[in-house]
Amino acid sequence: MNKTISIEINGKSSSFSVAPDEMLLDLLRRSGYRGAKVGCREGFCGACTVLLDGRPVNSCLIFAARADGRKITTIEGLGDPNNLHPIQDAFLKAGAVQCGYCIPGAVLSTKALLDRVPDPDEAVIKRALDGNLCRCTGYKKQIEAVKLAARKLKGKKK
Amino acid sequence: MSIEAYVIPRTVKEARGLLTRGKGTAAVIAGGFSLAPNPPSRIKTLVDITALGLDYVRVSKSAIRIGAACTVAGLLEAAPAGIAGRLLVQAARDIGGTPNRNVITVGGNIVQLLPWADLPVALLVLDAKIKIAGARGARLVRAEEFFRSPPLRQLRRGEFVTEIVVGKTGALKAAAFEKIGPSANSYCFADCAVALLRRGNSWEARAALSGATALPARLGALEKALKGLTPARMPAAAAAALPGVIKSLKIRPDIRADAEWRRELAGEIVKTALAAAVGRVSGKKKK
Ligand SMILES: Cc1cc2nc3c(=O)[nH]c(=O)nc-3n(C[C@H](O)[C@H](O)[C@H](O)COP(=O)(O)OP(=O)(O)OC[C@H]3O[C@@H](n4cnc5c(N)ncnc54)[C@H](O)[C@@H]3O)c2cc1C
Ligand code: FES
Ligand code: FES
Repeated sequence: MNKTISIEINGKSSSFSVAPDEMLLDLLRRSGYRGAKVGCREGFCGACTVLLDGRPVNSCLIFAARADGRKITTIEGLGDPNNLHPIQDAFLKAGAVQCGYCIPGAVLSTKALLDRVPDPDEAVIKRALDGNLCRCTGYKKQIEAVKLAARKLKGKKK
Repeated sequence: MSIEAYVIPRTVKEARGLLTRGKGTAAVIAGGFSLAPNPPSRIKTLVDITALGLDYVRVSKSAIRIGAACTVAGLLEAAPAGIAGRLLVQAARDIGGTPNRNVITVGGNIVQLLPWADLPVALLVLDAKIKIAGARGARLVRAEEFFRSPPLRQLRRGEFVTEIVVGKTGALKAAAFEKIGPSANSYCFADCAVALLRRGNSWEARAALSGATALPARLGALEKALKGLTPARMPAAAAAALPGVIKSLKIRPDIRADAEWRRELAGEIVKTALAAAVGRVSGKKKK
């Protein structure tokens, strides 16, 4: 039986009618948040990563019903093409984006990291992005992007 | 999928009632990482246990108590101190990737008991107890008993794990965990935990192996061979005993590695974990 749930997505509360077997990823995508990508649907690739109460999670393995009363951040909540979030801008400037499929997840994992640890070292960055597979960039540029984003967010633009 | 209802109870009693009334068609869902991709067709109701307040790590003088719905990330962040706490952290550290660790629960990890589950070996050598809530109250089961057969088959209708209790003992002098897999994000080929205990002048080693075997288990024959030896003498004695010990195990082949290779690996990983624990007891390494 469908159930009505309320979720705050990117700062805006909305009600959704969800089937008991609907996954959060599918709810988000049918509601227009298509930055959450469908990849493996097994928790491995991280393309579906969103922030649930500020923490990166694989939305492909979480039932939508669990999100009732909780806060979700999707990539659409960070910036838009005309007004990029500093992390998105850093990913572009560092050349960390190729096909782009993994990028929403990687950017959100970066946001969760920098919200907690404003000045992470490389080991911490690697661990924070360990659930976001990228088939294109080889990760080096992504790690640079996170460092650049950290500097930007601290207001130390170089 | 056959799921007809997803319910989020607020109390253990409510959850137990839902599971009992479900008569086998209701299942606990914790992180959901095992259950979500493929729920068994008989399951009609999912009973979400993540809002029951079971997401804690409580450390007292006598024990580390971990709520069954505590996530792996929650355990890592709590970082319980002491030898037992550090062993748990070591075992939890490389479970999946960050978005996995934020969701996978300690209870889900040990109840599903996938062959590559990392926490059971640590719980085995720490002689942990698993607290199970059921219609007739709670019962405590020793880890060794709990992991002897798949827990999902052992749990009676309406029962679920609420807590994992790791008792503290001054006898525990060192511990180590080792895991080998094809990459940081892959399921391991084998994992092993070792604990060294001293009672009076007598030393004892506990070792548990998983990944290479279908179920995690203590290596009783190895422990027997090491009993009473000082830690310094344990590695040589283990090297002598291990071929026989490993030969007697039923090694699990899979698509990634055959049984022969895993058998060899199993012996090596036990040696590595033992050497690490022995190194710690002699005070060279703190961890
Ligand atoms: C991408 C990925 C990577 C992984 N990597 C690792 C790894 O490196 N190491 C590792 O050890 N594991 C790993 N796992 C496996 C993971 O630990 C298991 O899938 C685990 O079962 C997930 O826990 P959960 O809380 O999500 O369980 P759920 O899916 O919620 O539950 C699993 C089963 O246990 C039952 N259950 C859950 N909690 C309880 C309880 N408290 N009482 C009674 N029954 C209960 C459920 O009914 C269900 O049948 C990985 C999984 C994924 C998807
Ligand atoms: S689609 Fe969710 S982890 Fe791959
Ligand atoms: S940019 Fe293509 S997968 Fe990462």
